Amino acid sequence: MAAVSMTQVFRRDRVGMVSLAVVGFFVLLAVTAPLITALYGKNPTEHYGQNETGLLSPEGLPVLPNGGISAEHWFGIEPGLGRDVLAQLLHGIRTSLLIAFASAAVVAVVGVAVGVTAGYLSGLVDRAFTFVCNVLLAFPALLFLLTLGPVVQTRFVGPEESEPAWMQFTVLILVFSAFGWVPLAMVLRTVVRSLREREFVEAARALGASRRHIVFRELLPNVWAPVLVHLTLAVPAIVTTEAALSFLGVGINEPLPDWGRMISRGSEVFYDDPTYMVFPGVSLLVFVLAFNLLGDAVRDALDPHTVR
Amino acid sequence: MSRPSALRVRDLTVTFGTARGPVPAVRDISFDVAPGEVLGLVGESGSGKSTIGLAALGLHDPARTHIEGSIRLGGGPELVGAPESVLKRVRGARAAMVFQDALDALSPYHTIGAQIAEAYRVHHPKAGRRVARQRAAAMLERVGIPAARASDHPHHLSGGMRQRVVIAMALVNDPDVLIADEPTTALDARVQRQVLDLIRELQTETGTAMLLITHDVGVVAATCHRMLVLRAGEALEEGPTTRLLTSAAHSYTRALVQAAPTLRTPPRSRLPTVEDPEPKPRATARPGTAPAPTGVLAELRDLRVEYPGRRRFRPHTAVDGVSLHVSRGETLGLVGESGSGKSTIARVLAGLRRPTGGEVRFDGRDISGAATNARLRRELSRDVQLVFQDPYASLNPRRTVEQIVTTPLRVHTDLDAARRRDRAVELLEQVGLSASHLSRHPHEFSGGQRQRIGIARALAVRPRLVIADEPVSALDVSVQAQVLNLLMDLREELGLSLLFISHDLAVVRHFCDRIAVLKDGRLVEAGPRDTVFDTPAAPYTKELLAAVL
Repeated sequence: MAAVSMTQVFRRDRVGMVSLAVVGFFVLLAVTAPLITALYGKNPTEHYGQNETGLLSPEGLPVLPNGGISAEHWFGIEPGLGRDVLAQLLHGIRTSLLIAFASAAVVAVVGVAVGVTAGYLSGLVDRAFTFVCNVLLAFPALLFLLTLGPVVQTRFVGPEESEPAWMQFTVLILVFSAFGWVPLAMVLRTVVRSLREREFVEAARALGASRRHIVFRELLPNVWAPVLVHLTLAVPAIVTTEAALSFLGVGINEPLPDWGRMISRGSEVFYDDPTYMVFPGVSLLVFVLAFNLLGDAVRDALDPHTVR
Repeated sequence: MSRPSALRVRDLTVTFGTARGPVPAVRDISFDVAPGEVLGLVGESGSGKSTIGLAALGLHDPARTHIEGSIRLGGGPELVGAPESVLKRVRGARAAMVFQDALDALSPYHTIGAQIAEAYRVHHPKAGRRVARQRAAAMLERVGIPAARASDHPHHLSGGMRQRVVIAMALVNDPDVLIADEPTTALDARVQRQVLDLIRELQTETGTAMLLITHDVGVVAATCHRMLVLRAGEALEEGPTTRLLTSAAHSYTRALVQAAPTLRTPPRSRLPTVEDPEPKPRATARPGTAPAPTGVLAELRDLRVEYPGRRRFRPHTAVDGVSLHVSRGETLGLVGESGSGKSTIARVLAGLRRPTGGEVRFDGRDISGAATNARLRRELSRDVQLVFQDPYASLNPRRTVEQIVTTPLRVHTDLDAARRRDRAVELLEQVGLSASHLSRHPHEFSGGQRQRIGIARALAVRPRLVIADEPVSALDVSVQAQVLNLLMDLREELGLSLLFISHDLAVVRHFCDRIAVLKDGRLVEAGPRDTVFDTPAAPYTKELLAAVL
C-alpha cells in the first residue's frame, strides 16, 4: 500500500499514537538532558551525598524517606555515592538510546546490503550467506558479550587507566550489530527472492535496466516496510540487552550514567532503599513497552491484510 | 410456481465490514433455481457473483459480514443467520461447491480416494470405511477417472483431472444444489470443454440444480438454461440464455455478450465495449486487411530452449526446434495451451532467456547472447519491448506512474527530466489516460488502466517490435475489448510489428495477420490467419478450434 494510506491507518491506531508520543518524549529527554539538568541545577556525576552533610547516613543510605526525595533532589539520591537520581536517569537515557540507535543503524545498513545482495544474486553467494548466518545464529551471543568486555579491556587498556567511554560504546555497538544484522538479512533475503520472481523485475530487465537500477530503484522501495518493522522491534531489544550487560558488569562502566547499572545497584540495596530501584526499572519498562507497541502498530499499518 | 425451487434466494444483501466502514457487495438479489435447472450467474470481477455462492453455503465470516434476506434450499430451513450446526448438515450434503482452483481445494497430503471417502463419511457417520472407499471409487469412475487411481495424490493428476476429482467430491452425497464457482476458468480450452461436458452430463443424469458462477459468456451459452447478469452487486437482467444472448434488453448485457470476440466476429473490427456498445467501424482501416509486410524483422531458426533440471533430473525442454519470423508491420499470433513454450519464445526474443540451441536474429543481427551480455540486451531493448500478462504484477507497486513510464527513457535516451515528463504525458494520452495520473501509484488504477500504463511503458522508446504476452487474459471481457481496440489503434497509428501471444483462439483470430500454433514446444502449424482458421492442416489445430465455446 502506498505511504498515504499507511499513515492514515497508523493515525487511527490509538495505541500506536500514544506509544509514538511516549517514544518521542524519551527521545526529547535524551536530546535535551544536559539542558534539563543545567536548569535543574545538578549534574549526574557529582557526589552530593558525600559532599553535603545531612543527606546520607553513616551507613551510606539516604536520610530522608523514599530514597531521599526532597525539593532539592526530586527523585532522591543514590545510596553510597550520593549522586542525584534524576540527573543520572536523564543521562542514562542518552547512553541507552545512543547505543540502541547506533546499533540499529549499523544493523539496517549491513542487513539491507547483505540481505538484498544475497537474495538477488542467489547461487554460490546465497549458499555462503546461509552458512555464515547459521554460524552466527549458533554462536552463544550472550556468553560472547560477557567474555569480550574484559578481554578488550585487558588487551587495549593499561592496568592503571580506565577504559575510555568511546571504546566502551564502540565495543557494545560492534557486538550488537555483529549479531543483529543476521535476522534482518535473512528476512530480506526471503523477501527479495520472492520479489525477484515478480514480473515487474522482469519488466525492468526487458527495458534494458542495469543491475544497479533494479536493486536500487525496483527492489529497495519494496523492502523498507520489513526493515522498518524489524528496526522498531530491534531497538527495545538492544536497550534491554544493554541494561542486562551493564547489570552483569560488562556494559558501560562508571562514571557514565546507565540504567542497567542503576538497577544492579538498586538490587544490592533493595531492602534498605527500594525507591532507588523503582525509577530506572519503571523508566526501562515504560520505554521498552512503548517502543514494542510502536513496532506492532507500524507492522499493522504496513500489513496490507489489516489495511483493507 | 408449481414445483418448489431447489434454491430460493430472496432480497439477499451482503455487506462486508471493513476498516473504512461497511461496503455492500450484493444488494437485493432474488432468484430461484428449479430442480434440474442450471442458472448462470454472470458478471465481471467485483460484481458480487462469488459472494452469492458463498452466502448460499453460509461460508462468510459472520464477524465481518452482515447478511440480510433469505436463502432456502428446497423446503429446508432458513440459512441466513442459521446456527453452525444447521449449516454443517447442509454443506456438502444438500448443497455442494466446486471451486475454481482445484489444486487449492484438494489437500496435498491425502490421496484423492481418501478425500472423496472422507467427504462421504462426514455426512454418513454410520457408513464404514470400506463402504466409503467403494463409494469413492464409483464416484471417480463416474467422472471418468479409473478407480485404480484413487490412491494417487493430487499432484500426480493434471489440472483437468483434479477438477474432476473436486466435482466427484461435490457430488458424492447427491446434493440437491451444486454451486460451481468458475469451475473451468483455470483450464485450457480443450480441457474446459471436456469438464463442461462432464458437468452437464452428470447434472442431467442426477437432476441436480446448479448455480454456475462465471465471467465467461461462452461457458454460460454452453451450459446454462437461464442466466442472471450482475453488475456492481445488483441484478441487471434475468432470463433464458438464448434470449439474453441474442436480444438482451439491457445494453450492458449486450456489450458483455459481444465484447468477447468469437470465431464469427469480423477480424480487425472494433469491439463493442460497455461505454461504447455500438462502435463505428474505423474509417481509415479496411477491415480484414493488413498492410503488406515488407521484409523480416525478427527471426527464430530451429530454436531450442532447455530449463536445467533440479539436481539429477534431466533438463526440461521447453522449446524444441521452432522456426518462426515476424515481418515488418505484421502481427504474428502465437497460440498454444499452457506449457507449450509460448512465453519462453517471448523471453528469448526479448533477450531475457538464452537459447540452448538455434539462431535468434533481430533485424539481421544475432541476438542469442543478449541474456548474458548486458550491453547487447540494452541495445536490443531499445527496439524490442514487452507487454506483460498480469498488469498487477508487472508494475512496481512502490513507484509512481511517471517513474514507471519514464524508466525506459532514462535508460535509453539522454532527455532531461522535463522532456521525459512531456513524453510521458504524450504517451499516457496516447493510451487514453491523462497527465493527472502521473503522480499516482499503480494500486489506484483498475486492471484495464494498469495494462494501459504497461503499454505506454512499452511504447516509450518507440520500439520496432512489441511482444505482448497474454496482454488481455487477466482482464474482464469488456476491459479486454477496450485494450484490444487500443492496441489495434496504436498498431495502425505507429505502424507497429507485434508478436501477440495468447491461449484464446478467438482473440488471436481477431487481432493477428499470421498465426503459429505451438504444442509441447513444437510448431504444429503456421500460416496466414484465414488459412489456419478456415482450413487447418494439423489435427491439433482442428481440436483446438473445436473446443472454442
